[in-house]
Amino acid sequence: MKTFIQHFVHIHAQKVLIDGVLRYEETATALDFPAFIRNVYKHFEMQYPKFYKMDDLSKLAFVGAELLNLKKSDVYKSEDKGIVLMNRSSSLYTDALHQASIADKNNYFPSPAVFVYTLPNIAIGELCIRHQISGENYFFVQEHFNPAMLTNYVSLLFRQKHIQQCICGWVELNADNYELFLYSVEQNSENAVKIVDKSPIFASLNLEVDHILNDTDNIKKLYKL
Amino acid sequence: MEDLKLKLKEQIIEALNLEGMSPAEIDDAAPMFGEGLGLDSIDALELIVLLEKNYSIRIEDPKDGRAIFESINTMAAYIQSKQIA
Amino acid sequence: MKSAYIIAHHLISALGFTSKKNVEQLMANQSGIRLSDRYSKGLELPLALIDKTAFPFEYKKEYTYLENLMIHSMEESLHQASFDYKSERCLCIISTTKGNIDLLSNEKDLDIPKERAGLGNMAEVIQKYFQFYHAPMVISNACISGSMAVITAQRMIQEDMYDNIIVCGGDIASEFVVAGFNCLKAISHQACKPFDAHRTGISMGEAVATVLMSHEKMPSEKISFEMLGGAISNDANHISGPSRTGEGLTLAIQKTFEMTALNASDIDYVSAHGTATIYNDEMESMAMYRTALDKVPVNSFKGYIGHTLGAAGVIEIVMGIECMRANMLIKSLGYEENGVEHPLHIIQENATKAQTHFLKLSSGFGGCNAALIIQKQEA
Repeated sequence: MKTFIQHFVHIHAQKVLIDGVLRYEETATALDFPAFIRNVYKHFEMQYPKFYKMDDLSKLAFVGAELLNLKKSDVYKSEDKGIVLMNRSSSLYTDALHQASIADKNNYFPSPAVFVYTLPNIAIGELCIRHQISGENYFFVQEHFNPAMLTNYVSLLFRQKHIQQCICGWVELNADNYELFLYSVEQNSENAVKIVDKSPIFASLNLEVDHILNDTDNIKKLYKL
Repeated sequence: MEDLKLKLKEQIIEALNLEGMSPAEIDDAAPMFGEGLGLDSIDALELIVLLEKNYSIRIEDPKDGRAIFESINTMAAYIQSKQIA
Repeated sequence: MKSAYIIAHHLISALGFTSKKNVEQLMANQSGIRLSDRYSKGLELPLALIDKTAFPFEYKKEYTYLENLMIHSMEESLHQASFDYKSERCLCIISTTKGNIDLLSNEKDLDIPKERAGLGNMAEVIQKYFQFYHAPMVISNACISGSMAVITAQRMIQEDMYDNIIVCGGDIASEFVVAGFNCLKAISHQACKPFDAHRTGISMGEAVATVLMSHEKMPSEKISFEMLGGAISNDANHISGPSRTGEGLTLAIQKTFEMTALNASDIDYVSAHGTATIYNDEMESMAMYRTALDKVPVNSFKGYIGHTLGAAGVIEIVMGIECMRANMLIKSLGYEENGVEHPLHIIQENATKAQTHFLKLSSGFGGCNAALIIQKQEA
C-alpha cells in the first residue's frame, strides 16, 4: 500500500523549515531553547495558552505539529488518526529537573507540573488534545534516528487499517541540543506536498507524480535536509 | 491582606507559568478554575506545593483544595487564618 | 496472515524470581506489597519490591540493576525455546517508562556511565550482551508500554516481518517515581484497593517480565496461547487525568473486538489496569460498562505486585495466561466494597472457570489506552 508525505517540518540550529523551505531563522546568537521556541511560536502567531505550561519536549513537538498545516487536509475521523514519534533522550531533560527537585532533603519540593512531563509520550498526549487524534499512538526511543523502524511500523499501521493519517517523526531534545523532523502521512496524495523544485535533494527522492512516497529512503533523505 | 494578595498573585503567575499575565489582570474574587484563569487539576496540585513551599501550609487531601483555591480572596484568607493560628 | 503465539515467559516481581513462583503466590492470594520508607525517607509507603537479597543469579557489576534483571529474565526465557535469537528473523522489544532512572540520583556510585539512563543506550547494551541482529525496539508509552509491546510483536509476526520476538518489560521502583506520584497525591498509604469504595491511590511496584512470541507453537506443549489482536487509542482529553467518559478505552476495546471478530460474550475474564486511583478505576469501569463487559469476571493484579509501570502489561498478560491455563479466576486483592458508578463483576474469591479468551486492559498518562485478547487453544 502506498502512502504519501503531506508536509514536513524541520526545526534545529535556530532554523525552521517547512516542506524544505527556510521559513524562520533566529538572528540572535546562541539563544537558549525556551527563548527560541517562544519566538517561533510568536512569529507564526500561534494561539494556545497551554503552550506555556508544557515542558520543552512538548513545546518542540507542539510547534512542529502546528507547522504541518494539518487543518487544511483534515478529513479523517479522530480515531483514524495516529501519531508515531521517536527520539534518543526520551524525557530525560525534564527528568533531570524533577530529580533536582528531590536532591536536597531540606528543600524537597517535587513539582506535579514537572513530574507529569517525565514521560516522552506526554508530548503525544498534547498533540492528541490539540489536533483531536484518538487513534494509535507510539513513542519509540532509539539511540539514533531509525528511519527503517519508523517507516516500516507506520506502513504496517496503514496496511492493517489501524490509521488513515499519521503524524510521524523525530523529536529530540536534551540539555545541549534540539532537533525536530516531523511529517504527516496519508493514503491519498491529494493533500500531499508537490515537489516542483527539482534541486538535487528533491530530485533524488522517490516520487509519484510529484508526490513524495512514504518510504525509508525518502525519510532518510528528508531527515538530512 | 492586600500585600499578601499581590504576593500570592505573583507567586501563582510564576508557579503556573501564566505567561504574559500581570497581577493586575487577576480579579481577587474571580474563580481560578474552570472559566476564570482556566486552571486544571495539575495546577491545583501545584498550588498545594506553592502553599507548602512559601507558607509552610500542608494540605494532605487534594479535595480540601477545592474550597481554598476558589479565588485569590479565599486563598489569601486561608493563608492568613493559618498564619494567625 | 500468520498467527502469533506466546510460547514462553519469565517473571521477576515482589512475588518471586520465576513465573512459577509468581503464579503460586497469586493462587495463594499472597501480596508482595510491604510498608517501606526506602524511597520516601521518613514516610512509610506500601511498595512491592523485588527481594534484592535473594537474586538467583550472579549480579554483573558492569550492568545496572534493571539490566541485570532484564538479562536474567530474557536468558531464562530463551532457555525454554530453541529458536536462533541472533538471527535476522528475531527482534527484541523492550517496554519501559523510566529505564535506568536510578542513575540520575547522585547517591548512585558508579562505574556505570550516566548515559545509560538513555533508553536507547541501555537497549544497545542489551543487544550487545545477547548479540541480537537488530537494535531492540524500545517502547516508552507510559503505563501501556508493556501491552503495546505485545500488540506490536503480534502485528509484526502477523505480517511476517519476524519469526520470533522477545518482549521484555521492566521498570524499577525509585525515589524518582515515588516522589513524583506522591506529589500528585496518587499514592495510597495502605496496600492499594482497586475498584474499592475506600481506594486512595496506587502502590508502586517493580518488575521485569519477558514473553517470547513466535509464529509457531511449541511442539511439546498441549496448551498454547495465541495473541489474537489488540488496539491502542488516545483520550485526546487531558495529559494526566483519564477521560471521565472512558471514551478512549472504550474505543480501544471496540476496535479489539472488531479486529478479532469477538464480542463481550466471548470474553471469559478481564485483567483490568485497576491502579486504584479514584479516576483510573472510575474511567475503566465506565469503559467496561459501555462495552458490556461489566458482567464478565474481572480483577486487578495491582494488589499483588503493585503498579509496575512499563512492565505492567507484560507481567499481567503472563499472569492472565497462567490463570487461563489453570482455569482459575484469582481474587482481586484489596477489594471489599463497590466504589465505582457502574459496578463490575469483581472476583472476590478464587474460583474455577473454564476459560478460552481473556482481555487485558491498560491505560496511562498521556491519555493512552490499550486492549488486547489472548486465546487458549488445546491440542
